[in-house]
Amino acid sequence: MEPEPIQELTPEQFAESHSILARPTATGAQILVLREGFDDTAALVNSVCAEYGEYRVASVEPGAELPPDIGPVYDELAIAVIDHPEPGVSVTIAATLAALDEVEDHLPEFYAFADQATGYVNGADTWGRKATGASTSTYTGAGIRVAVLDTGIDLKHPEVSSKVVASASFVPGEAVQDRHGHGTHCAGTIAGEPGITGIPEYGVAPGVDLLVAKVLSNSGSGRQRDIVDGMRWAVSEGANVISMSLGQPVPVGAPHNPLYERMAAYALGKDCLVVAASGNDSARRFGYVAPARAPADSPSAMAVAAVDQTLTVADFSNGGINPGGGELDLAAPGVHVLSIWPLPRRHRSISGTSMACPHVSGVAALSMEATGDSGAALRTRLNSNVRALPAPASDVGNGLVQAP
Amino acid sequence: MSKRTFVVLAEDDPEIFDSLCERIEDHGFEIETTVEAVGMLVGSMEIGQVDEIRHLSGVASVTEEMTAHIPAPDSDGPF
Repeated sequence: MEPEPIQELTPEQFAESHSILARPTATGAQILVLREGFDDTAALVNSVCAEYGEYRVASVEPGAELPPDIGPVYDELAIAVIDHPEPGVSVTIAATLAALDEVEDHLPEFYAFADQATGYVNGADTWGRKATGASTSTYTGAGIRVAVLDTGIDLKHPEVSSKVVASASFVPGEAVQDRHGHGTHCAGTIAGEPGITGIPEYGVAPGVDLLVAKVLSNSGSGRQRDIVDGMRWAVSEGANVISMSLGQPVPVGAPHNPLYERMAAYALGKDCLVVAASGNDSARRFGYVAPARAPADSPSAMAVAAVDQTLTVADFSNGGINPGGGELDLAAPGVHVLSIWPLPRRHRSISGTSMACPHVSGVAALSMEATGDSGAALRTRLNSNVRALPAPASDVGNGLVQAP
Repeated sequence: MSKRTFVVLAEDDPEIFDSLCERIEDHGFEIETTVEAVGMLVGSMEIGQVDEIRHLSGVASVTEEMTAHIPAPDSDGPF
């Protein structure tokens, strides 16, 4: 089937979309999350507020309003919002309280722009769903298990939490709960379904079962041993696809990393396909193209490049320039990709080959559901069912990934 | 001298894995983690002594353990 043409934005629409992205989104307030069941939030917060003037917080009933110099405490949620009028004081108060056992977390408060997002993403589907053909596919990935190896996931996010069938953390001392956001975004691109009016469909394969392995810490890095542990766990949990939006830089001309190759081959031997982001180390505007990172450079893993909305390779996207596995397989949408973000922010549009990778993982699930192909046969099918792009294979592999 | 963390990959032969673990420890390699399914050992040893284990029979490769990252720039806005 001929893929649906992609609607191009007018220059005015494009400028508007960028102005939305560029708009400051933090309110300056802090959201304080206390231990579940803690019932003396206002007193605790005010004991610190008292050191910084007259500002206080107070419990608020649903629908009630508070004066502007009083911050709300939602007792049933054990959450307080600190919005001190002096710049920076809210952060100081929240940081002081964060040292207490009663406090679980503190986060900046953000403005939400749900309504404006529809203009940016061109209607009922994100440009990524349209470009890959997922928006018109009759498949959802039902019955297919996709593992996301990343910074974890927001297990309370209403648009993806029900898709998670198993999760585990391989980062010492850190729970699966995503305090970074990257893993949640990638998982959303695979399986998320919008729960707010005005947010377009953004998940490529909303019918899949998600396996979530936290192998990157909340600061975004992970040891090889933990990543291998996460891959083994995913295979043992019956993953059909492993999505890895992570990597380590590789010098030009260097051979592939033997550990990742062995692990990817092990997974492939169990009919589990590893899909990896090629990396964002290039600066093509200056003529510099970096080689695909590890594990994307493993011969047994698929390497994914990023394209923008004009289907041009992204400036940052690493190339297939190293031999012996460093070649690219596919390209996928990776610029201004709308997906979910840990609450309270809920949605976010970001760019990177990390965003392209889950598009391919989602399409892999659709293809497996449609054809029954798995492992190496699935890879062959994905590499042959593409939309050709006017760019060399070293930039975009075999072309733009296409859903069945 | 300083200790570093290394990843050792055994040759693709499950029969040799246990004996390799023993022999590699005899050379001062302190094993922290093993994953027999893929023939991986992670552990530490003095960096000056690592050549001793590179040439042991059954060792396919020895590399310093690396850290993977979210490939920056994963961020808002055009680049």
